[in-house]
Amino acid sequence: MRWVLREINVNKFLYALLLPGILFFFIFNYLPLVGLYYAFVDFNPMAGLYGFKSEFVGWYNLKFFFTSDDWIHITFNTVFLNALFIVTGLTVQMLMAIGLNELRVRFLSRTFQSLMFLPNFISWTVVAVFASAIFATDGGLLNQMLNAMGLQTFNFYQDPDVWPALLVFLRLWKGVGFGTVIYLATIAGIDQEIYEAAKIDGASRTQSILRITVPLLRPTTVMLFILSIGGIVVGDFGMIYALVGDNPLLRPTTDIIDTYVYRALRVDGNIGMSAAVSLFQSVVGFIMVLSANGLVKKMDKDSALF
Amino acid sequence: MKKLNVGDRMLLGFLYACTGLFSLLCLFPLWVALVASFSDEMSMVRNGYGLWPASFNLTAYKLVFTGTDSVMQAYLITIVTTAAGTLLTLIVTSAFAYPLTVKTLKARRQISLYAYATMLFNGGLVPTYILTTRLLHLQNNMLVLIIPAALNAYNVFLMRNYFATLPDALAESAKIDGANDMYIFYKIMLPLSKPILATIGLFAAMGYWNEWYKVLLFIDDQRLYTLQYLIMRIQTQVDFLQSSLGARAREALGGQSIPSVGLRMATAMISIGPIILLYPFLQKYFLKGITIGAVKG
Repeated sequence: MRWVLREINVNKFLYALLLPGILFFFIFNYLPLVGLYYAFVDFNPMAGLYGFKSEFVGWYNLKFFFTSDDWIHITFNTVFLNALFIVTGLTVQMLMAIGLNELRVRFLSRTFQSLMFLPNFISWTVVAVFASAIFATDGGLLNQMLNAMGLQTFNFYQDPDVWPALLVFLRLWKGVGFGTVIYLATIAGIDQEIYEAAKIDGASRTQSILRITVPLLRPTTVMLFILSIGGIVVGDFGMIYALVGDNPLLRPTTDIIDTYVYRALRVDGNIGMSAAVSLFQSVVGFIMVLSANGLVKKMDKDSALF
Repeated sequence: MKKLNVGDRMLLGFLYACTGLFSLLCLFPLWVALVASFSDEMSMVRNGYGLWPASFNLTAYKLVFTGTDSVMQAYLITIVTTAAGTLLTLIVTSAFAYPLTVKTLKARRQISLYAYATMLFNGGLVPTYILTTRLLHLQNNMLVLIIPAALNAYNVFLMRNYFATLPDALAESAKIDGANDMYIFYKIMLPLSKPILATIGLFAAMGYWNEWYKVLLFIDDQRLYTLQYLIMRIQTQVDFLQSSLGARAREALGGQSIPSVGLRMATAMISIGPIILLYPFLQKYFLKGITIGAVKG
């Protein structure tokens, strides 16, 4: 005990600097963990302080969730959409990075990169406004094109089947520029002598790309892939809610765990259920992150998160 | 220059086409929205969205700036929360990150772990919601848009890694001269850390500028709406802004019908205006930030 006081006294200014952050993490990250208890009660806001005296129902909320059809449905959507985003994202990012790197006109390469990076700064709410300009039924650009070709107007906002594709497209639009940066940095780090040697041996540009660049990008790709798999049960609420909103027609393909949890809390007021589904997501997410990190650690110690 | 064979030329052409088309595609929706924001209601109803404005009409912008207070109010809230939030982020993050690099601090590893662990789990929406509304009573309070987002472990580690690259000798010699840790942090370390402060500050500012999720959860008071949330309300509820258009709006309209699409597009354009203006600056520091993060997270 003595040495603790001594240590605090010696480094009192350092602990003073740390204090706000320690309190912050305690309040906003550790304190909510107490609330995991809500997953096991039939929440009643009036029962005791913060509803902690609500009737304890054990596994009831989780059982109820797992016996409904919802759980398969929203878990599938979350994982399926994320898997689509990861695979398409990595592929297009790599293609664009290689492309930007090969362009002979530096000015074009820089301009293209700037343009690709711009959507990253635009929030999903504004993307939703843009999307309406393109996909709207009345006057949307795509429907104008369809009509011009003599085809019937297609109601994008009533057909759930097209949404995985639309979300993938919008996601690429917003995210690819950001993703190319890491690939470009990796390409810039490749030893130029390898290319020189290949050229002397008579390799064409195409061969250099396919036999040198692509294989050397593989570790980065694998790493990014595994790290994103770590987050595969965490859906992008901001994206889905801004683009789809409360539109029940699109739920079959776009309802994810995060929107479900939000609805259970704010719309249906089923707080125990909302907490239970969150808990399920947190536990699976935790396992996914730990295993992903373990895998990464095995391959390349420096790329591991912890 | 070097000669290219036919295959290489085709490949190069293909890559030019891919990157060129994709970057045009990135600009395309912005252009369509910009055009729509200048179009009048009549031509929008008749022709729909287009690539070129049928007429150059400023009604929507006039309405946004003078016809309603909602947009300017949201703009103000967004600017205030962004400025305050970014400042708070920088202060709390750097103050927390610096001691973690001082070798004489015995609890350094434990405190790092305490911060790191927060990246692995979270209580989820319900506990956070109850904490914010019933324990902290931050509902309908601007602070809820500023404080909870101010510190995260990721930024702490970015900053800690940067501090760790500064030579130990700086702090040691200052110590010998009698400076205390607070002084060393504030007068020596912070001034040397401008690049990482700029990077984290911009990441934070971007997050605050685009914030709407917390408004959705915690704010009912229309005067506290952020710009992004306002845009979402206009998007989902077409007449949302129109109900707030008063007598001044009718004056600005001068007998024309209310451009509902134009209003939406003009508000969206105004919200991304500062981003476009600051873009070269933003891009530079963001690129730096991503590569720092990628090298060691």
